[in-house]
Amino acid sequence: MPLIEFEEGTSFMHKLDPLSKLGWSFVVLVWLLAMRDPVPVLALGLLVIAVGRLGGGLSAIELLLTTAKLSVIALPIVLIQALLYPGQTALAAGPFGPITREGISFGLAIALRIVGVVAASTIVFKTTDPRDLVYGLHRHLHIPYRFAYIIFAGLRFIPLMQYEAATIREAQTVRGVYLARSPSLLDRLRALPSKPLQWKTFLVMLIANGLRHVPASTIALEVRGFGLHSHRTFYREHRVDRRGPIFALAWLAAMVAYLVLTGTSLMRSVQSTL
Amino acid sequence: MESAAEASSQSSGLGRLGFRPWTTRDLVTIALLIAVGGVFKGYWGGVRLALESSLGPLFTGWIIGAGFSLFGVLPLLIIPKTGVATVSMVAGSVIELAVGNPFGVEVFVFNFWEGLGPDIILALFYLANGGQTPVLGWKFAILAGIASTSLGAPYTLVTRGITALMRNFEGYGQYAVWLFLANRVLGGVICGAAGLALANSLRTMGVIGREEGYRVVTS
Amino acid sequence: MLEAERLSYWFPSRASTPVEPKGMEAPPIERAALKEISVRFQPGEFVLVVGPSGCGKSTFIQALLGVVPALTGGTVAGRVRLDGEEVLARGLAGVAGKVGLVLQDPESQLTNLDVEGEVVFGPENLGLPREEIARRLDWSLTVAGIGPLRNRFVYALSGGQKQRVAIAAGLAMRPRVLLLDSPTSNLDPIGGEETLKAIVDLWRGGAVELIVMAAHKIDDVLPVATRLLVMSEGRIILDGPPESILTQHLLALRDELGIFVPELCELAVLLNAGQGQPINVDGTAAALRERVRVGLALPVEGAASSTPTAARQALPLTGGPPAVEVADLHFAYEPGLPVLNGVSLSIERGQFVALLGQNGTGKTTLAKNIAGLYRPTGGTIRVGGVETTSSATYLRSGKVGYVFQYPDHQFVALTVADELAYGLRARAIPEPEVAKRVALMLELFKLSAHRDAPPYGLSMGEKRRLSVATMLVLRPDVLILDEPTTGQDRHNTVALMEVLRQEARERGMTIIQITHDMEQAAEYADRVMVMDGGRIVFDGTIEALFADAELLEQCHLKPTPTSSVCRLAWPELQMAPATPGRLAQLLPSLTFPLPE
Ligand SMILES: Nc1ncnc2c1ncn2[C@@H]1O[C@H](COP(=O)(O)OP(=O)(O)OP(=O)(O)O)[C@@H](O)[C@H]1O
Ligand SMILES: Nc1ncnc2c1ncn2[C@@H]1O[C@H](COP(=O)(O)OP(=O)(O)OP(=O)(O)O)[C@@H](O)[C@H]1O
Ligand SMILES: [Mg+2]
Ligand SMILES: [Mg+2]
Repeated sequence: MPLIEFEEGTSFMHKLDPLSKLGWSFVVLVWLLAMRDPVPVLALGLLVIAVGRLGGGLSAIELLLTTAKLSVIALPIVLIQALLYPGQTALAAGPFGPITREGISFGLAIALRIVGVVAASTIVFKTTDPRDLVYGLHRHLHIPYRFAYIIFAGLRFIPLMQYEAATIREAQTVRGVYLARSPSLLDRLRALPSKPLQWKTFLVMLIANGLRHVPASTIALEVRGFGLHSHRTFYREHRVDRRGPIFALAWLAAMVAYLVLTGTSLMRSVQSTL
Repeated sequence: MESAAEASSQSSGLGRLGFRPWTTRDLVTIALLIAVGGVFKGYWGGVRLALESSLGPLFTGWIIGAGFSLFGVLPLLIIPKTGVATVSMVAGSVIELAVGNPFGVEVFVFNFWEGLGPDIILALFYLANGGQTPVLGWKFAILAGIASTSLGAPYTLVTRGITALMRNFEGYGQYAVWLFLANRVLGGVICGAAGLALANSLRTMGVIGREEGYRVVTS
Repeated sequence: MLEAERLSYWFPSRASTPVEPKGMEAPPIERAALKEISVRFQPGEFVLVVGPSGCGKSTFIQALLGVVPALTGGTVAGRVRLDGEEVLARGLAGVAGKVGLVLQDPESQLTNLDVEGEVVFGPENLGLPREEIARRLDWSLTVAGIGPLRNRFVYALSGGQKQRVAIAAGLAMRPRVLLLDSPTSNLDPIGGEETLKAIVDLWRGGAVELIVMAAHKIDDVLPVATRLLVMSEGRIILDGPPESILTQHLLALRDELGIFVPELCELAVLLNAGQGQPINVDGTAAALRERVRVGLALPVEGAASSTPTAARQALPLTGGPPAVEVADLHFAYEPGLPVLNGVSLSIERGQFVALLGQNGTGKTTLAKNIAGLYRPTGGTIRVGGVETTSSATYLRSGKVGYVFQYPDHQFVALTVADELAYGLRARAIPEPEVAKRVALMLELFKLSAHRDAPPYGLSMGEKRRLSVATMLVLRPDVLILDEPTTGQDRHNTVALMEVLRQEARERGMTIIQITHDMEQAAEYADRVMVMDGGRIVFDGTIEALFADAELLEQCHLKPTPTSSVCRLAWPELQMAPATPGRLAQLLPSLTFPLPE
């Protein structure tokens, strides 16, 4: 079970510092949000994938597949925009007014943003060791270590909770909370009203089993001097690579240049969606 | 001991808004709730994909949103300290991304709003209670739920182009927007009710309760 | 160096409206979890703390370093001193770096992502220089024997490895005192052995000055321990050298207090062996040989009479189909990685079967297949002659009950009574019948007093009983229990097993119990099956299993001490008795010539 996205490596993206990479992914997000045409949106998405392939040594196919999974959510957006968007160039008659070229184009632009957004964050987290991220948050964003540590602890507990969730589901199945394997459609429909209660039973027990670990974990932390002193050593070596900020700033500059050159004002872009 | 610390933190401005020092126990609880939330959202993401692919986002947002916002309201019902929800949600999004959340960096944005909303409501409850720890019942839960699902609405309205539909007045554009907003509010109510029901069950079970100081006596 | 003086402690009241007296007045001592404990530990001691479940072992250990009351709240009286310095008054800041603590649950106490991060966590918090941390890291990994695990993520380690990481993490603080709270009771035998070995090595190597360890089963640490504390209801009732306490108070400890005493001690007492000498297999075997040689009858009234001795005959065959019949069962969680490789077995009605085998061989997987939780990839399962693999309603029928290892996972309701009624209501049993059956179960499992309490708040032993009761109330034909007694004291274990045995006898319920506890299997099972590599490799009596040295080796199983002693005493004996009770039964009638 590969829990954490991160994969060891020595690529360019691996060497950059986590905060610069996060900054970069936000630049990508803003850039994508500023654009309203599907073609440049898709182009930027592909460019991001190229960064992942060339700069991070990641598989372009996998990155594309990851984003493709979300088409389930993207398609309805295209559909709604196509049906409802007040465009000029009517292509066909729809139930709520004409279906326009602008509506489809706008819907596609929104949907295709997913490619860049998802690819960028996948690249960041596949090339970033969470330990470096926590360190970066503490050292450079001056987030107190106690808070930055929450991220560690949360990651540590995720596999535990996955195990507990699976076990609780099985145990509750034996208790008769859920239907037998492969029930008929009719059975499933009949069981629909009891669904909320099932989710509640599941969640209550999952949370209770999760919080059961609180006392022992608290003890384990405090006994080892967690939060005792304001000063703390960091044993792990943390490389500082100047290229990180340069990379992020270069992208920022590129975005500004693009927006200026194409005359896309961020404000106008927002207004136009209003 | 505890009451002295409480008294001093109440007098300061931030204390009146419910900002309190966080104990190690609080931090561990938050971490575990994040992990529980992360795993739950994994299951819930499956429900979301199933529902949205069959019924579409405009008709399922009320139930889907409630599931995600739940983890913005629940931490406050367990640890009533302002800031807990925002920190839970933002730290939670880092963790979700690190284990492969399929929605990308936008979860930062969503989670931030979904946590900030309940925190604002909690701060208001503290203020109304003169800086004393308020009793958090259904009023708080529902308001916090609505705040959680609704604070991020403008962002989604704009970036998903739903407001753009507003101009389609001859058509049905405005209905899409109203439907969207109604979804959010209904989702908030459901989220608050669910959060309160969960917290009450956990309290009955003795899993959560008040944290206390100790005292030394001579025997 | 470490001492407690008239230490008393009261947990905060669980009632929502506390009625505790305020101020300096102590609450009544009967309600205290620790009652006026005075004890002094010297450098060089290895102290074992034993006592029945809920006697206050964990509370005591935690009070020794100030976790109680600093993190638990409540009321405390008396003092704890470490090198003359007050511990209780200073909270945890006073002991950080001086006392290491290892807890029972390997999962909760590891709070970092990777092994290295976990071990350096404490020294980092103390703000030590990097070079010093590096030194300590290397040293603690070596001492705990986990050097190769250094760069692994903690979640992917086995239970025993996790506990050793916890030990290393404690050691990295360079504590003078190491406190261990039941460090092996959640582990399987191999994990437990690994952990104990690390502790014993540490002790022998002199890495810490004082070790205090609470435990339920002390067989394996007995040879190194220098002192034994016996606790009961919050008090220390016995304190002294382990072997003399155990041999002098054996029956009282075992039958009245209800704790596990090492089986070897039981034998030694039974045989009146080597007074004052260290208790080991060789000495005990010699004593046994001597006993029988001079023709003395054994003092049967002691150990033998109170050990429940199973009448091992199965129920008279009913002529009906077998209760469980599995044929050529295959199963894989992931394609290409088979876990079950053609399991075949057949179990008669009313049999009590122990399913043994080392970790990861597929015992749980097999049991969950029988329970209908998984869909096999090949083969068939029949319960009471009916094929289950094709029946969608099988799971709901409640024919097969399944008790999970941790009761907490299985609870679904907010009160004990509702918990018991849940399965019945889910199966639409009429309400009067539900009430009747629930009352019966509450009675049988001595849970009546807790009928309206939340299951979650029960003690571990009560939770365990409740989780079994929630299955028995459905009157299943077959009950599967997955390691139902880990971390339980003897009293709870015996009580549970007796109820099960009675159900098997009276209703003909078939029991399949997965266990790593050979003594328990020997005591209660009519028949044992051993799994290895996804197959059943042995099926027969436990005596026959213990006679097959090769198989034991292959499957990492260890015979009971009684079996080992008897084997050593009479190598030519075909089927050595496996429990002290059976040895005692056997001995008077033993007629074959004995070796000289
Ligand atoms: N948080 C708590 N609040 C109230 N009572 C508690 C709490 N924790 C434990 N107790 C009670 O205090 C007593 C001592 O518990 P403790 O955990 O020290 O026992 P133990 O000897 O370690 O048992 P075990 O062998 O099961 O681990 C028990 O009666 C238990 O029910
Ligand atoms: N949910 C799962 N997904 C994938 N593999 C699993 C899963 N559960 C168990 N396994 C694997 O299947 C094998 C058999 O596991 P199982 O739990 O049945 O062993 P076991 O004999 O019960 O061991 P133990 O004594 O440790 O309980 C192991 O290699 C384990 O890693
Ligand atoms: Mg204990
Ligand atoms: Mg198992």
